[in-house]
Amino acid sequence: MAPTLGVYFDGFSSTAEMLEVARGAEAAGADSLWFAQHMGFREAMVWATAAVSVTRDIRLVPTAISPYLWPPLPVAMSMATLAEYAGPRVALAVSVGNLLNLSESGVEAVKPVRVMREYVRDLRALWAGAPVQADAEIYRLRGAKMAFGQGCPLYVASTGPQVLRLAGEVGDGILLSGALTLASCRSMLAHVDEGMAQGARAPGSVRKAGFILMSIAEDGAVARAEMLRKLAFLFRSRGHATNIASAPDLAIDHAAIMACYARHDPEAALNYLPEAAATRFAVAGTPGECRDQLAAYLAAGMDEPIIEVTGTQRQRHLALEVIADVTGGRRGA
Amino acid sequence: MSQAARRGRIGIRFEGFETLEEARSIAAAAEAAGASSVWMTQHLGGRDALTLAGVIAGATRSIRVVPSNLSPFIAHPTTTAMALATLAEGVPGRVAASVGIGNQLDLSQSGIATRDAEVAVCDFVAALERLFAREPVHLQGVTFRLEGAKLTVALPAPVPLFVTALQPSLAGRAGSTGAGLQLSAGFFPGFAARCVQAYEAAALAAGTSAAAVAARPRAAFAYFGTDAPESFEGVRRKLAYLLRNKLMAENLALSGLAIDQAAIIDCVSRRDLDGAARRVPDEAVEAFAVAGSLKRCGERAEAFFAAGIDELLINVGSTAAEREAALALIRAVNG
Repeated sequence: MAPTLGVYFDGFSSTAEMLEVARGAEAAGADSLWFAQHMGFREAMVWATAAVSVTRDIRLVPTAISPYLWPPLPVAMSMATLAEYAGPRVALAVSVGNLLNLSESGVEAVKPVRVMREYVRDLRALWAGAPVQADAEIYRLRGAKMAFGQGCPLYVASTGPQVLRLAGEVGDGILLSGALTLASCRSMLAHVDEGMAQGARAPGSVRKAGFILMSIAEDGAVARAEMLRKLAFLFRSRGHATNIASAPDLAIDHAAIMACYARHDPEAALNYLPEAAATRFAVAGTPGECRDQLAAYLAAGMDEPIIEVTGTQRQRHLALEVIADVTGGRRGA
Repeated sequence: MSQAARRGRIGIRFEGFETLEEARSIAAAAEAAGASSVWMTQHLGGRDALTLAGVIAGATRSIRVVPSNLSPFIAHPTTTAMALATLAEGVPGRVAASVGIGNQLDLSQSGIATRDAEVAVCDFVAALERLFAREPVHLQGVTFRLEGAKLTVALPAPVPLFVTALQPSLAGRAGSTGAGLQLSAGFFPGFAARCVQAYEAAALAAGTSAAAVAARPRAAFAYFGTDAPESFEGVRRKLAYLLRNKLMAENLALSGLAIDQAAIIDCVSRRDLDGAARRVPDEAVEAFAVAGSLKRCGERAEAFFAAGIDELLINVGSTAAEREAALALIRAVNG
């Protein structure tokens, strides 16, 4: 059986491009579309709703919805509305969110493990349709009730050990962030397995999904250079320290990269990333190289690898070709 | 300024309890009939107004979609600005939004107390306007704190904002912002006029020119029904439930009708909606709604336009006959 492959959107491209890629991804055989929420960029629920009209049966997953900015009742309402529109092909991924972005909106991510546990619990309770009472860490429910609709599978997104264990314990699925080495992926999935054991979950009952950064071009060197820029931007965050340490042979000076971004000098940050980083933390190169590197991620234990389809129109076309190759053919062609 | 009759138009509104299939069908028919816009009210527990706006935008061609009564007590300005900007990028020039306090009972069920509610609404509008400008925003509101939040998505066209008002006091506050005015359902036209006057006076006091004040949009929701007995009774029951709200006291008094609001409140508190409806006379249905024959409904719409309202937003009804009548009214008024 051919492996599944999803496509994610980071909200940075235009709506028109997202719709074009969504349509193309379904036709190429992709299994799911993930709409990642980045503060200040395109909103995930609205994009998922827009994608319904250009697709037929591909799964739609608004992603990284944070309990610190979205109380449970409005999220339950949004997802039930989306499910009524799209049918049973929707899911939701929740996460703590980016701490820097949360702070810009005046929010401090207190007690994340408790908050995520309560959020998952109360979303499901609301979708069950009865009045919900809850004294949660960051909200209260005093008989809030859904008047219609149904729920959907819940993924919990994280890279931290505690939330990953929680995800294994209570989630319908887990979602790993992008820019991880294979070693980091394996380590994180081990935390998920610990949580599954703690929750007495049956093997295979928790879907393991992960974003994989991908840069593709006919000239592999061009693709790798583009990927280094993305990695430098992501590595401005202290949260990648353990991940970067999982590739000690690359000798990446993480502190220096962060310092470059602190003084608004992203070009200088590139000096601290060797070309090999492009293929250790991501998939980058020619179409053939990308296919081979994706196979390695599939072998790392992910059920649902999810790639990006970005760049020029030619690059997006190449990425869709890779999807078709990996999934074994085009749907509806 | 508001005394002169304005060229009014009729749009439609959903309350979030219609199925999406119904809503899409009604919206498409209303657009074909010439409706001015489609508003979707956020009721907690019902369909989400922003998501519904996306669905309706996809089912229509050019009509404006307006998620409404977005409450600062349960929504955050950053995420709301993102959603509106994303929606606007998909259907440029077709998106507006209104901000309101929200239903206090529903909010209390989410553990939320609405302190400084009118200020909170205006804070939220100010935050949205500043986020739409795509600059980092530093702003302390009643319900939020922005410390450099920034909207990156550019609006392809302005997204007009309205304030949902249930009282002249909030209408007045709305006038001091740059937002339009949107009145709740169940208003007597004379009360609507009082709200419009408060809105205009505050806008003028804030230094807005008379011409600019006159150009600002003012919308009002209204319950719609036909002269068929079951339709008329349906409006009566909706009004009975609405008039339980103590904030409606001034609205009731201005109508000059002898309505025992205390008795209505008592009935509703005992879940005796039949009893409450019996205390809403026919004259009240005619005064506080757009109900009756096509001619009578047209007259009621004109009464709102004469009060300074330029867009009347009716619920299209739950039966085929009501929908046909609503579409006929839209065609008759909008031309």
